Amino acid sequence: MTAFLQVLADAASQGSLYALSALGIGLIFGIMRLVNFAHGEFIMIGAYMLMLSAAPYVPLAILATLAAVILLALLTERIAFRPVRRANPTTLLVTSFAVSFFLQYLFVLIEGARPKGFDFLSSLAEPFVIGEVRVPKLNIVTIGITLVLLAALAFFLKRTHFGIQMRAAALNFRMARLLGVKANRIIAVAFAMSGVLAAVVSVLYVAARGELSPVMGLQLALVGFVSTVIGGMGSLLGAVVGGFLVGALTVALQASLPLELRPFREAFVFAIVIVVLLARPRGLFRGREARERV
Amino acid sequence: MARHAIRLAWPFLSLALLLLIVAALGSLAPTVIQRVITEAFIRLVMVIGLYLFVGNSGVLSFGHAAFMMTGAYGAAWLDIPVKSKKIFLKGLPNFLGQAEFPPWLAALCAMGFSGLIALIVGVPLVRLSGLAASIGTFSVLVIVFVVYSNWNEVTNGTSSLIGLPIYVDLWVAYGCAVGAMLAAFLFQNSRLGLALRASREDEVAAKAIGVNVPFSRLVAFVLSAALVALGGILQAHFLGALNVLQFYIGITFITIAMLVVGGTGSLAGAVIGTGAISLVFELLRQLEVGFTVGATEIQLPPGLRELGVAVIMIVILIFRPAGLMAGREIPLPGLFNPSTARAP
Amino acid sequence: MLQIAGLDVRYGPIRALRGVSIEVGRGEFVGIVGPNGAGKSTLLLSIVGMVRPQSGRIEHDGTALMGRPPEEIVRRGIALVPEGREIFGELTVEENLRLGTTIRKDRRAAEADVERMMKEFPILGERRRGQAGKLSGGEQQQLAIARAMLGDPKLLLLDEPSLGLAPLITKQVYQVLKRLNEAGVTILVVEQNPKRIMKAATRLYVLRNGQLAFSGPPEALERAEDLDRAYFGFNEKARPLP
Repeated sequence: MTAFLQVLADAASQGSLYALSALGIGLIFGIMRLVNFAHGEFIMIGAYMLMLSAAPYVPLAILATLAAVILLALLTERIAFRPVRRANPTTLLVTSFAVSFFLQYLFVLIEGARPKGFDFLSSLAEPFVIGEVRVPKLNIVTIGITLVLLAALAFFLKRTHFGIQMRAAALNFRMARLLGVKANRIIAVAFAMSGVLAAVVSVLYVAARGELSPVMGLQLALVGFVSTVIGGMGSLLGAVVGGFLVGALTVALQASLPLELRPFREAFVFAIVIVVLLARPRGLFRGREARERV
Repeated sequence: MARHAIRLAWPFLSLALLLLIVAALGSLAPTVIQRVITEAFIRLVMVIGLYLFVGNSGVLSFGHAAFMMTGAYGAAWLDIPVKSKKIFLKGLPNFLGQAEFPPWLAALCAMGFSGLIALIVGVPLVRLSGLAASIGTFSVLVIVFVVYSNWNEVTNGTSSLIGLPIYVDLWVAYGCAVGAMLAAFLFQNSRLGLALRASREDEVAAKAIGVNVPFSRLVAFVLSAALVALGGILQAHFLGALNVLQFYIGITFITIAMLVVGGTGSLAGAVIGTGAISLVFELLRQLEVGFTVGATEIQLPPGLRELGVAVIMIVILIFRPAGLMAGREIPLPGLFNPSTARAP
Repeated sequence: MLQIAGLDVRYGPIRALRGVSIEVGRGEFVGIVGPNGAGKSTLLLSIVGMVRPQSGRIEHDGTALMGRPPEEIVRRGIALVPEGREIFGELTVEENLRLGTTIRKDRRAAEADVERMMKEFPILGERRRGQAGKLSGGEQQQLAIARAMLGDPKLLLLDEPSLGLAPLITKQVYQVLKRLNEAGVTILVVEQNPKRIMKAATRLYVLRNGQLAFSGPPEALERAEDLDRAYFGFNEKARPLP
């Protein structure tokens, strides 16, 4: 029982990070059918921003990180994605692949390719003991922040007029525009929101790993795709559930696979992706058609 | 009659001739430049292989680097000296561990092996289209990468595998590039290739006129995997060493960039794209290595090459989304072209 | 109120509209009829900026509309109820209605109008929390019109509002349109089936193969052979344009 609870606690915090990454990718996909490969680089650049600004005062550094990643997300949208917005989803995907490479090697150029150690909020690594289950404080913070962000996002999308516009745009962009929904503004806000989600992941990820490198975003972006595919492309709830599921799956495989198979964990996760694509192309949870064209 | 044949084969002949000129000029140049051209030809084999599937089916694959991996390692299993195998590849089954094939046979077997793997993963994957296909093929890449990175006994894990016979030079690479182009050219003009190109324009309409889209896609997928595998094999036997990281996101990006920049719609697009990106890549590499202007030494930091390629690719996607060649082949000169040749 | 002159629209090699000129005056109820593929929808989509014409002029109260994005054009008080209604099936009825108020600046009055609209169309009020996709075709058409009206348009464009509706429901829809027209809204309706629109409209255009084939009062087409001639072009000496 204790072991099970321990796995559950680990899975919840791992899943939180994955869910936030997946949500950032799912949000953009829902609005403009763009699978944003560069989302991982948003997270990576957020981590560098945090390191560069951490010295005097941590809350200020976190704010600076948020601002920097939001700005970055808006810039990439304006410069790279807006001109190709009407292209098919495959072209959009290739574009984001190129943007991702650009940003990654920009940081190889500036900061070098080697990983850097960065001790950030390491006091949060201390465990919090409940009975026999030991949970690092950071995991609780991670889960808490994720829940707050999810609740805020749900409120925004359900209760505010702008949120309703955004959902309408995701369902049928043409009709939304005919009602006066401003396409540029909706897409910009979606990117800004994905920037916020990426920046939060930067902070939590760096606090957990204490290390950053220009290639760190790849792993998280991959997990984000996998989660959105499993949850159903275009469904935000699906992305969140998919993120938690992949987190749980990863932790469960880690705990249950025989030692010699553990390194192959990711291969199993991606095999599941292929199975889902084939058997349930609309995702595991929802029946909505993942339309490819806006 | 001869004119007619030349006209039909012109898209292939023109490119083979172009490459021959490049190779001939290269063979007169210093070794450094020869190596650069050889590498470009090897890339070309990969890009043509990718083109055979992507260009004809219209489905973008992110997974072809996986077949470079299976090809390169497959050939290495067969043609690395037995002595080295005992050190690096303890886990090889006996029939492989004791074998030492001639390189050409090893290459053929490895291409067949990659084709077989493509057949196995292809059967389910070719049913997917658009984004789902891209993500599915990408998943194949990750799976193959993870398996080869961790299956230490037969791949030496993430460490390099050395001791491969080095037999690839400028002319071997040229021959393979021309062979790959011929294969792609014959395929795209075959009945199956034409049917597949029809499905690229309109999948539903192609199905309606009786094109078996999954089957023709599968054939293209397997052929293209074998060609791409050849690219991986050549690279391994050019460098004499092999590492799993050679065949992951980096090469995926570069080959897709070459194809997209040249244009996915034509053989000439694949060749011109490979040439253009190789050239830019090499120029930027020179900047990274450093050069002198007057008395000052200028050296730019590493990462510049990939950065430059990414910028070119984004610019092309924005301003010329069909690529440099925009789906056209190299035009026939007036001599063979009946419409202009008859003119006084 | 709306002047269109010499409008040309091409989709690749296909010429959807060829030199079409129409005019809609304030307070009018104008109908455009024509067979499938005549270019009717293209015309409406050009007006709201969803389709970019190759040449011609579209003016609204003296301002050129061409080249402006749809979100700007609808803010001038032009609303389109597109073919197939295009309600947001997964959103609630109320959310659909509130989306209609997107361009309104007077937020409080807009909210009040949403409530008023749900009284005016009682079925929408009853289903306000239900998914809009679960409404019947006629109910969805009511929702689409109500949603368009919440933007307070002065000019309402409708693309085949009777498509897929039972005759009785079509009649109700046209009663709603008539009421709106009497309340001062200018209306331009496109229909493939001319029956209903010939009774409702004060003026009629017939569009065929991307060109105008007739323009005038509906009475001029009352004799069936006149309509056939204009609609299908059976007679080579089709009535000249006024």
